[in-house]
Amino acid sequence: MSDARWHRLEELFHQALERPPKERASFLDRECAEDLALRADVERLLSANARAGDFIEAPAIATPSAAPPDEGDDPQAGRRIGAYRIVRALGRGGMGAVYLAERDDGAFLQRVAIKLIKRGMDTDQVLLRFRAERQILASLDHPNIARLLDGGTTDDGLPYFAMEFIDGQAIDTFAETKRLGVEDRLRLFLHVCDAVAYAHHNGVIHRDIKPLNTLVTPAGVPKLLDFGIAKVLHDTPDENTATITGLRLLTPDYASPEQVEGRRATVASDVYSLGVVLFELLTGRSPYRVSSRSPQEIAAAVVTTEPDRPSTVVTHPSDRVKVRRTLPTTGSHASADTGARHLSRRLRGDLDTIVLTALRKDPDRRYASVASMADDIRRHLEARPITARADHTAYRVAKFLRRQRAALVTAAVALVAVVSSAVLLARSGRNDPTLISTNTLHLRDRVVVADFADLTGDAALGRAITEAVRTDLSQSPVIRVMTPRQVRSSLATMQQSPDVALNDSLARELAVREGVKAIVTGSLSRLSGSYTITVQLLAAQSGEALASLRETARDSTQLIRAVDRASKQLRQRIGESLRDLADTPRLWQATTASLPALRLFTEAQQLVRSGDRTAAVEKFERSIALDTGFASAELGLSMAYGSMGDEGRSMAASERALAHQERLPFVERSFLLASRAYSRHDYETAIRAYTAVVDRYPENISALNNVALAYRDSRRFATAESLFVRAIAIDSSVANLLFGLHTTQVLQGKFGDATNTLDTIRRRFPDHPVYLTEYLQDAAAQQDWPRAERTALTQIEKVGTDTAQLVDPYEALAQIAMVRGRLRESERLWATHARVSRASGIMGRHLFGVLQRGYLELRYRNDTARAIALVDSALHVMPLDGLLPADRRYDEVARFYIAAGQPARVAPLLDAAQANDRALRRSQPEERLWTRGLLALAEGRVASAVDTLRLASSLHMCASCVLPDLGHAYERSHRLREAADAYRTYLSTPWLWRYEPDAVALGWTLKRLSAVSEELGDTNQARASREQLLHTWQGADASLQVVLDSIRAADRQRSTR
Amino acid sequence: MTDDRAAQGAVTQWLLDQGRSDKPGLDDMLPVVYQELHRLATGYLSREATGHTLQPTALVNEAYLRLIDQRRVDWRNRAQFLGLAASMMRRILVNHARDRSAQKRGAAAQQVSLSLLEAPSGRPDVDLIALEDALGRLAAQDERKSRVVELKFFGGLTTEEIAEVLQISGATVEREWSFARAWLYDAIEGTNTLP
Repeated sequence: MSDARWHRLEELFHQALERPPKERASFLDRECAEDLALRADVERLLSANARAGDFIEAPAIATPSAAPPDEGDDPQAGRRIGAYRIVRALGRGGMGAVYLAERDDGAFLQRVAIKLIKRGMDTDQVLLRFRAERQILASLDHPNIARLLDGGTTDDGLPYFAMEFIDGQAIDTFAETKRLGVEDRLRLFLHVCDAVAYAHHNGVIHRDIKPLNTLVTPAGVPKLLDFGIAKVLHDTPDENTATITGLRLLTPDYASPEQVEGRRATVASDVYSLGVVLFELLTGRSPYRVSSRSPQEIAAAVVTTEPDRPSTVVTHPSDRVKVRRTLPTTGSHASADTGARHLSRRLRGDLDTIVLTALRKDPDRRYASVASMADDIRRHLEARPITARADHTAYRVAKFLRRQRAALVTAAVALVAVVSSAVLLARSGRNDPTLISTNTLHLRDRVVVADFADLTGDAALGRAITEAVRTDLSQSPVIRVMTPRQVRSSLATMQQSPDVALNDSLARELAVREGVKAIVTGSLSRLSGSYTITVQLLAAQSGEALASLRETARDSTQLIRAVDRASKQLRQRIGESLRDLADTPRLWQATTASLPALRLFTEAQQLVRSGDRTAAVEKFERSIALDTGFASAELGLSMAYGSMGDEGRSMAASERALAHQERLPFVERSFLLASRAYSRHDYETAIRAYTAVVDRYPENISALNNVALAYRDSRRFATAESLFVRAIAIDSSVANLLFGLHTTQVLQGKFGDATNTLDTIRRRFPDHPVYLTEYLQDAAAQQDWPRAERTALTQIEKVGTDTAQLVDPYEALAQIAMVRGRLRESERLWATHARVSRASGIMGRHLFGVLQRGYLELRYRNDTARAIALVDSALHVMPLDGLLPADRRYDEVARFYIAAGQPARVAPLLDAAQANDRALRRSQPEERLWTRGLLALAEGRVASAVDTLRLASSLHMCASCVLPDLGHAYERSHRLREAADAYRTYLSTPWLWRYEPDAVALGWTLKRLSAVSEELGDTNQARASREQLLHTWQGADASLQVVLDSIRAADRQRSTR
Repeated sequence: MTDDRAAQGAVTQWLLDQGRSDKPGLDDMLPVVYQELHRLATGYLSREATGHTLQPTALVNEAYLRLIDQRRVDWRNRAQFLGLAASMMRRILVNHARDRSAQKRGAAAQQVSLSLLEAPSGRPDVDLIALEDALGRLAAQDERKSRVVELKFFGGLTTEEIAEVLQISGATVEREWSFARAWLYDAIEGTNTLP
């Protein structure tokens, strides 16, 4: 709109408002005689003004926390709390305010800092946090940590605690003011390290170390402050408590890369922050270059750029480096330049190394503890060699550099991420130098585990032992094990069958090909009841034995222990520290102590790989029967059920696994948590958990696959697609990835690409059991019903005895028939579906089929009574509460009853749905909103219905499913244009299982769209819709042909007019 | 604690300087302000409490209290700070809302929309993303009106304060506000928010 017009509009608006309502019309008549469009605009605005009500009117600023303080005095001043009297406020934090107070006991005057909960912030959560902080402080007693002196509750019953009041300067300011040299600064810094190390020793991570938190008293004593956001090391936070105990976005300048990215802080994070403080103490500059001062820039630099060496920074500072303080003094010099050069020489070498080690991006590569960092500093001061090594060029391009996260400084919501265990580098000077310390192997090199030679005659046992060794080695932080999938993929490129026995020579050949340095191999033999297991690490190229071990077991019950000992010994020989090994779970904790259970488990895994999921399920169940806490087996069971479509049982199994999650290795545990989150529709948690795995194991395509699915199901299709592509690039032999890619392409409407992907699948994986399903969905998404139907029929032909596999194709056929108006055929198919789903016990889908059948009666035959009777009787036989919680489709049943004109039955169903979701820790507001929206519509609350349904539609995973109802609601509120839009969008949005909503709504929506379009004067659209309907219902039953006839008749009338 | 006081002093001084000199553009203190707002916003936004409503003005106020030593500033300075904070807060909240709606999480605690009005008028929540889009369109046509809305809605400034920040009269502020409000309401009502 032009400026002139805009201003005229404004003018008219205000002038019209100045007149009494009665006169407005005539006023506008006069003013806008020739410009009807302008008049319409003004009227719209006037109408909007009238209806706006409280729209965006300034909200009451009433929350207590925001209440402005009185001018002048602190309202708390003079108040007595315990033995103290408040003098004034020192500052206010997120939950508490800190006051300066005095203790006046007559005998002596002591100044303290009192931390008190702010007025109005006394919710349970805040109290919890407050008490946690107090407890943390109470547990720490160190000369360099601000001490807790006292605590209690005020008269109002709120907790407070009193701490040592530190009147001091930040450490860098102190050093500058006192003109300290390098030595003195280091000694000062050592005190801080001691304090932090002490805190770590007591299980507390500070998380926010920075100069402002490290004050130095006038007497020169450093004091560490503000453990307010510190977390206790050994807590394993529940997904929810992490948010309750509070989060705070740190000053990115001192935050470690992992903290900036929102991961959990660890000991290593504190090491990093100390590194930054030390860097600045020694150079007066900040470590990173930034072009602007925005937090995002700084945060990005922290994560992605390497800091300069301190020795370089003092002589060649980039002007993009932030100058904080003057350089440390190094005696008197002729000029500033010589001073800087002298300092640079002083810092070069050891100090450079110490600082940069602490600042490494990869937490595992920093000092493993503050104590070791302090140790090195002391060694330096005593002119002894330090233990840290300067960085090799190869490592400089840290993998963290490659990751560019988009939103770095966004919500640092606490995570389910696993704390990475600190790795102690092997020390020199031991009796048996480890392989890492002699550089035979490097940290996190890969190894291939060959099949153990079985000399007992029990091949299955040999395999089980191999698996056990692989599991244990996979948990080691010093080495990475090639996954079975990667091995199989590599074998494929070597023209070997994936199931070939991986003996030593084949394993070595494979390793050489993959650039892997060593293989793990071994043998199992038996002599009159006792077992001997040998484990060897062989160099891939030469075959030279790098390590050899032997363990014996008295009998089979001791075998797993023996394997555990052997594997742990190997890890130690490689370079893992004794302390880490002591902390790591025993093998039977990660798998099972029962040998027969382990065998069954291994066999089950084998069956899963070969596709026989039903048999796999049976073996998993049997192994669990032998060891009820066998979490890994429960997990395998869960995945098997999941891939069979039995969501109910899948979830139940993963819950059981979760009950014993400590018996799962890192990757498995992450997967479990992620998939549980996924099934609760908590895609964000799932994404984070899977991403944690991908970060540690970038080649883990299962994690890549799953995270891509999570993105897909939260409708971030482009990201999902790129992740699938990435995974396929790593390993193109995995069909799942291509299927995932296909669905993502379809959902974006990229049908051409989707077809190409399908072709690729067909070529690479002929006869893949899922191919036909995918093909069917492809057809359905494009509403190519004949093709979809043919595909479903082909599927049925191919099914053997497994009735479970008949459920999906019959469902598809029944729906497609319904879409096309072939009602009697549909009925027959639903009957078959009901039989098959009941027979295979997949009750969730059985119920779904019943509801669809009910809709058939409702929508196509207008026989409400029969529809209700069908559903009622089914529910009578099989009440919802009798189903597994994940199968209880309360919302769908509720919506059916609404459609059937029985809104009164909805309330208890909604309550039950809510309770059920709570019990499942699941959140599906889109379902609730959809139901409520329909209810509102049925009860005549049309405006509310529109808003609710619109929100439901935006939230629902199926982008189009709610739209027919929304369109209907728009129609009822006479918003025809929006109704038409809704219908059109519904018709054109790709959805993999289109026949589901289409069976119920397609024909009906086309009719409505046609009618609405006519009313809007959009005759083209109206005609197109009618044609589509005629086409879709070509072979429909006679009862529907009547409808079509009347349409045709009306058409003829129109054309003769 | 003492660290807060030190930081507070610096930010306060900066705010006072804003009024006095012709200091344009980014400055050392802006990240501090931004951080504080962000911290507050994400703190509120990630709470598990169901039905929790978010009042951006409360957050902005809290940031103000935390960062500025009130004994040294007057209402004009406050207005300036809030004016600045308002646009930052808007950005933070909108980004958050966009993330949320893209993820389709829709958990009860994470209201995509801002709820200003509870029981009294019974209106449904304002859809923050729709508001943001509409505000953008308004700004394209008339920058000042958009700013008035931003200051009032996200910053909670009074008419007088808005007048101070924008250097216009109070009466003008009222006029701008009333037109903008009607325009936005119309824009949002008519918005096709279908996927």
